[in-house]
Amino acid sequence: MTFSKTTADDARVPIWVTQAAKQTAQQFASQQPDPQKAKQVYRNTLAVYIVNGYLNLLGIETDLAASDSWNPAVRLMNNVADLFIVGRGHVDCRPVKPDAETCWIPLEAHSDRIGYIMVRLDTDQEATLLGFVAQVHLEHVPLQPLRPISELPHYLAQLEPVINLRHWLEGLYQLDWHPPEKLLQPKQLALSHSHSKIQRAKYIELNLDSEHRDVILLLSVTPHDEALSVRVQLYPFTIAENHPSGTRLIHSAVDCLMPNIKLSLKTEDGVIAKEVIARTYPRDNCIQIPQFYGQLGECFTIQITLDDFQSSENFRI
Amino acid sequence: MHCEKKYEVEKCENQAQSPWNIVKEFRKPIGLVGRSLATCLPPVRESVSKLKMDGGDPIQDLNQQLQGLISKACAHPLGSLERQAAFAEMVRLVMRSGKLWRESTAYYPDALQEMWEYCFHHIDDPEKGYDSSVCTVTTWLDDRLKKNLRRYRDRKYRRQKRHLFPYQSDDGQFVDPVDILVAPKDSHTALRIWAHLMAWVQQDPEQVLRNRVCMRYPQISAQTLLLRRLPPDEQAWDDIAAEFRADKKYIAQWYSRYCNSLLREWGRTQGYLDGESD
Repeated sequence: MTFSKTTADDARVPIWVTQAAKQTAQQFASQQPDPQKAKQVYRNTLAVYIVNGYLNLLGIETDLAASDSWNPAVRLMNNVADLFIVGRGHVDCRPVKPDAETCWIPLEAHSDRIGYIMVRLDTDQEATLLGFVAQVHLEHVPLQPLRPISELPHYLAQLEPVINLRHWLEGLYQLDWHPPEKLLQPKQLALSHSHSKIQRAKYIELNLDSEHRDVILLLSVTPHDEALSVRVQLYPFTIAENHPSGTRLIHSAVDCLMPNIKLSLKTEDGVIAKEVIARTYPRDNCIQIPQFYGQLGECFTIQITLDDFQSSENFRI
Repeated sequence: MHCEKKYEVEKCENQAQSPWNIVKEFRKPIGLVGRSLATCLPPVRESVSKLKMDGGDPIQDLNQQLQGLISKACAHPLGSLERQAAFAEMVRLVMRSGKLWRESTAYYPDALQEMWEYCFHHIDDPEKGYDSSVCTVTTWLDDRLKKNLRRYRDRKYRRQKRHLFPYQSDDGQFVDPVDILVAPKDSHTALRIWAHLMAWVQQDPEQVLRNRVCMRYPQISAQTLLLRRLPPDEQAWDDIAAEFRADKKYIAQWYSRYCNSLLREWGRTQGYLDGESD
């Protein structure tokens, strides 16, 4: 036995196959029209269920309902074994036979995945987490070498979180993205293209001395046939105070953005596609990146920069 | 039992020694030979943590590694990367060690899952958490595992007939459910989803499927691909690519992005998602 073989083997994690996992796998398999497909679904479901249980144990939040492997229509029409990791993306959980030397990843699972976890189904009650890879280029991925499964938390943590706008279309929003009327003043809302179908706003702290200088990032999304159109706007965070006389007073000085604050749109390759800078005089009460279109699956980043401060939000269309 | 005592001594002396030395130095103060326990208490942790590198007693090594990981996990908040990584390492070490109680009951894996959930959940708990003065980490885990198993056993006796897995055939042979997964052709659910989906793909009443056309290959629509990928006679990507003289990677990716988004939407609007997410 060579040294490298021992360490690779040492990194594999024996894991258990619960009755609950098998019952779900059986249920999903029973929805398939032929034995071969039923077997594929059974094994895929087990792999996803096992990884899901493992990740939840570690405290890594997942969402089965947002996974294609849990959608009966997508499952029927695809060899699908994905698991959605909240705030990160879809990881593939592929079942491997005990004697296999490679793992087959079907072509349709080669894109839009943040990683591939190989799960060897050893016996009725036992499986082994063999390891993972970040990307695949072949349909048959060799099982040596794989990255140790214990590195997965670090790997996931260094991935920039990506917001899937597809989920917004389905009415699923991240907790820090609010309906615009919660964060914007009526005057600001008037500028916000509210005819757009979907709008969400996020409060962004600039960590400056004055609390009145934080900003609100607003995304307006409209679905089209094959694409989405997106408009991005940046507003100052303003506080309306109720004056004792009953009138509402808005501080006019903070009604405007800090001069030189920059809003940029970056493509998947990190190229800056568009950049807007708030003016010094006259000051801007809003800056925006004009409407742009993106195809399904495309990624972009919105960046806010002011002096040393920088904040980024990543999106997938 | 005698062996176990030796292990204890080896831990104290922190070096691999000949058995004779071990016996000779048995019951000397923990940590550093010849110094009182009180004065050497703080350094014990350090000298002990170095031990794992020196190839000492594997059982104690494991326990010290696990204790180190528990301290690390507790020092970081729930959901932090450090805690996740410490838990991942604990699962790996314990599951690879083979030190946990084993039995071949159907509910053993469920009891094991619940053991980990309970122990990780209560790791910070002053009462239910781990106390190194009471036992080793694996004993702490084992206690919980056995409690869970007892609960399952009692439950099983109460409703004996409810368990589905695993089962034995009449001659006592163990049967792997995967091997006998028959396609329940007469099954209500199978027919319902599959037939419903097939009707939707073929008829395409709102014409969304035939109007969703592939940009690079206008002769390919979502309907074209869905019809070819519908089980039980689904075609391989190689065959579909050859039929349309298309790049198979491109059409597989197009399918995954555009056809799956239509399928997801269909599954949602047809109410097939409810009650399935655990």
